[in-house]
Amino acid sequence: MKGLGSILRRELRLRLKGGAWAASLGLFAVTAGLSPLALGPQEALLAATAPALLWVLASLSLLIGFEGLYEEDLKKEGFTIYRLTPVPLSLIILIKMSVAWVGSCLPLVLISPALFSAFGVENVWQGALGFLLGTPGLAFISGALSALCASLKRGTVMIVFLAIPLFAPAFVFGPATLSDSPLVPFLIMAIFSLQALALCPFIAAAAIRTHMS
Amino acid sequence: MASMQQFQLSLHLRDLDIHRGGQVVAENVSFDALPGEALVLRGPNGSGKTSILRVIAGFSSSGIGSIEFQQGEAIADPGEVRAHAIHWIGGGDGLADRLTVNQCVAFWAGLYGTSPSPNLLVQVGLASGSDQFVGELSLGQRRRLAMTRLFLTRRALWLLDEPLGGLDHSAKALMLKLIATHRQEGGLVLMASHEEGLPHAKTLHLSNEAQI
Repeated sequence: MKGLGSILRRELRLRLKGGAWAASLGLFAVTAGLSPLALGPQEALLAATAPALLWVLASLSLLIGFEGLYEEDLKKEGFTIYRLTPVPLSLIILIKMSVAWVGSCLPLVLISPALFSAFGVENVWQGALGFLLGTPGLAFISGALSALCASLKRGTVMIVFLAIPLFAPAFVFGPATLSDSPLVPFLIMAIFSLQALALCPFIAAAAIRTHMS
Repeated sequence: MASMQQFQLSLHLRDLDIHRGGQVVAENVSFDALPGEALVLRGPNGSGKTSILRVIAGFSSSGIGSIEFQQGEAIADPGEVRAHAIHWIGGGDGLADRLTVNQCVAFWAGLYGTSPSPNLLVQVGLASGSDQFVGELSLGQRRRLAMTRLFLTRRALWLLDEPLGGLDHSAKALMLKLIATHRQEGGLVLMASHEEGLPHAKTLHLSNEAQI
């Protein structure tokens, strides 16, 4: 289908210039880096809490990267132009969500090995792979909620409260990817992301259509 | 003139009720627009001009009534028409502040699968600012930039929402010339405007009955 490359380029450019990625990465790095101050210096405790702690911090950090994913195109008729082309709206939204994942989640995945090893965790690469498999699901869910809340004032606050319960599977099985038998948690994280991929673009597209009508 | 006709799309509205925000703003809207014709929707703010354009573009649904597109004699699929044959110029125009003028034009060209002619920005009077960010443009310049889409791909039906607002004399003249050329080629123009009309165009007057 023609035009997809152009859409991807535009969205990526806008996303990276927006700076939301820096906010996500910064929040994650700073909160994770400072947590040991609160937890105390016991190495065993740090290594034991790191998986759960980093998953919770990453989930919250990536959420702020999803603020304003659709606002500009809703207000300034970007979606008007998009909808007068043969490209399905859900595909455009899938591109937007994927770009937001690249901006807000991929940096977290990339620095996670450093943070895991700083906490003294042994299975560092398992942890990074767990992030890689699980964060797309979190991103798609956040993207769908962001679309639902797009015309609300203070939508970001709503997104946070709505998203956290839906992140529950990631909180259960994400940290488990650092255990000694990670296969099942890996698979569950992958399924979690695939399921979100199958549903969320359509939910978001329906929400955007409603906002526009 | 007939030899130049390229478009055969026509539009037929029958007894359409137009809603906005849960309220009926216009009732029993009916008109036919045949190739080469222009229709100006006139009326005060809130009388449903833009809402009619939005219903035709398929963004909002109408209650009762019907919209029919015809390609020559045959009835055309509204989905196909909306995907390939409608231009919308509305003021926002999807102009993202953080892109440059060139990036914006390149995006549209890619989206429509065409390549822009080298003097495209000269034609709309934006040649000097091609590396400027859209956020730095004036209102008139933004509207000139939006006009480049009309050059990039040829589509039969133009839905124009207050297209002359914020334009200076030369830009207004350019827009009117584009509309005239488009009509000569059999194109359709629907324009919502609260002050200005078009030469040789039908006019639909909308009152403001829904408001108290």
